Amino acid sequence: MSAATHCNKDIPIFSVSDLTMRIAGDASDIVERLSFDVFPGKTLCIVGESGCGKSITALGLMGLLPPQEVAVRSGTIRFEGKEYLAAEAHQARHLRGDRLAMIFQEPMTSLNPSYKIGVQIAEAVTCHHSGSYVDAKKQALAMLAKVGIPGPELRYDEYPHQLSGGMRQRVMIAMALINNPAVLIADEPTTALDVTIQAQIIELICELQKNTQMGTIMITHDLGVVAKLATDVAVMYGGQIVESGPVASIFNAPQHPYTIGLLSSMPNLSGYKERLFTIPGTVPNVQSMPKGCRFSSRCPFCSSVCKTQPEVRVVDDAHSVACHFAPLDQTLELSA
Amino acid sequence: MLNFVLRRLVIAIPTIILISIFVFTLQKLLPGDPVLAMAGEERDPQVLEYLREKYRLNDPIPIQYLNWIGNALRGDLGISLRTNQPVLDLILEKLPVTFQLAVMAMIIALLIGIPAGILSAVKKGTFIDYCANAIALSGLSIPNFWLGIMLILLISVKWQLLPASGFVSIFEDPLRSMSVMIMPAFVLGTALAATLMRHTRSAMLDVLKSDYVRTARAKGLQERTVILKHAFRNAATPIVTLTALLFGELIAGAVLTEQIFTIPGFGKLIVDAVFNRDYAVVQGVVLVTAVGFILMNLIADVAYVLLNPKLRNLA
Repeated sequence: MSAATHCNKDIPIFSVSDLTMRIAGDASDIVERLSFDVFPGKTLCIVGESGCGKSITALGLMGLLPPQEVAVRSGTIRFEGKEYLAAEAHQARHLRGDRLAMIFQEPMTSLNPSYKIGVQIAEAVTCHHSGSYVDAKKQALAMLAKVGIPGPELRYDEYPHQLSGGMRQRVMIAMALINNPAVLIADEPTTALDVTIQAQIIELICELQKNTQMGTIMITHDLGVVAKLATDVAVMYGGQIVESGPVASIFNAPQHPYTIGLLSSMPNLSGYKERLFTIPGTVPNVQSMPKGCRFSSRCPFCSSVCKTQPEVRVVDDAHSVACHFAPLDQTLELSA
Repeated sequence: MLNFVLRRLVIAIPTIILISIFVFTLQKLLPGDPVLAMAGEERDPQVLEYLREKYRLNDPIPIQYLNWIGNALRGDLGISLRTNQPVLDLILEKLPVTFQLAVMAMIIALLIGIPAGILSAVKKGTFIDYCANAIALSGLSIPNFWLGIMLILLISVKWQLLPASGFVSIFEDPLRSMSVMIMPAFVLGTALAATLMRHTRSAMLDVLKSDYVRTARAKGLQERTVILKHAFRNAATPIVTLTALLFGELIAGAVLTEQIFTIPGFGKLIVDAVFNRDYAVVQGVVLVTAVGFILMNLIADVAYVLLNPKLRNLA
């Protein structure tokens, strides 16, 4: 890979096309024909409610799903100019933790309780780069300082149980970013933290990204996080991307009824207060997904045409949506 | 840490007292008069009375107990009614034998059990897992005495590779001593290996599902490092505890195995003592065994704390 492609902001650094996955023993796919691009220095937020397949997508992209439990049925990944099959992602060990890093939802259980946190961070360096442990330790100490852990020398020798949840997530971030990855996948990194810490962690990721030009895939169900971080948004429902586009376009002119529902269920601090909008029902499980449009069972606009699979339509510059009624004639007024 | 060990030792004292009372009482409840066993053909009431006086068997039982435990605390476990040797000497003579057998058996058990357990957890649901489980199950269900006899028949009698008996102390001729002990150690070890393998497997299966193992993989570590460093280190705690407890059991003597291979260890000592109503020896052996077992428990506790950074700071 040449430095030119790496730095060119118009060429996606990480692109996924046609990713389809199925849990062993299930009759239908848990994730279906997912395609998206991640650009250097940009953040793609994948949003959707619990059970829509966000986390499994992230683990699949990292190659962390056991092949005997989840089958990657199709899809290719293009990363830093090289293309490989998504089904072979688990073989790309040399990329993981080096060029492609991930932070997880659960900082409390994601660190090994038996090893010092510093050692766990330094390990990420030594397993990808030849060099002494002393160098790795130096880097780890610098990284601990960078993620805002006070007194890195003291903290280096501490065990995970001696740190708070927020601190542990900072350690996880330090571990993920120590090798300057080209792409960071963050799977709901703030869900398990309390609100003030959430804001700090988001701020930290924002700041680190600005300095390194890494592309970020942020998986979240928190639209506040999306508003703060995203450059692009992909809305997932029932294992499919139903709408995707630049953040402004998605927030200002949502086209898919599901996106409209999600945005309407966001509480509004100013203005007239009324009962918060909710989307009725929950995501159906994989076995009972409706035929055609997967959102049809919960969609207020559902009609007979929705029995067929809607094709993806481009409604605006880079804004596409999978709905029979798109593009909408007018922009809907959101939450009064 | 020292504080923790001392605290555990203090807790062990009531246990040891209870065990000593239990052993002593049980001994008194056994049918058969030790004086008759001692006197042999002699039935003269005067002689029997003399013997009873000599061994203070006419005292009330609580007094007898206090005498015994008082002497035991001073290192005097009494005199064997049978051989007239001090019980402590008998024990000190047999203990190294049993200890050697136990150590060798434990090493064999660990060498087989832990790799097999890890392998079957990592290859869960595959042919290798089924094989390991089948071998473990047979290890648990094949009786020691049968395996021992078969080994003697095959290896000693038919192929004449190893001696079937003829114990030699490890201090006299280490090589010969090892070669005599390897078969009994193997018999004892394989049975324990099966237990260890099952525990290792389930501990590893638990740990392999954990988030930090996923983190280790996300870091790009080699699968071998993920399993042996990140997973096994955390699965090791219950295994270390189990090993210490199993070792405690081994110290108590392997009665059948020692009989088959005619090893003059603890197991043989206690069986002979029970048959001869040599109550001083029985009490002594059981007491020493119990203390040994409690010590192994203590070691297990300490190891548990040392392995777990969270407990290490508390202790």
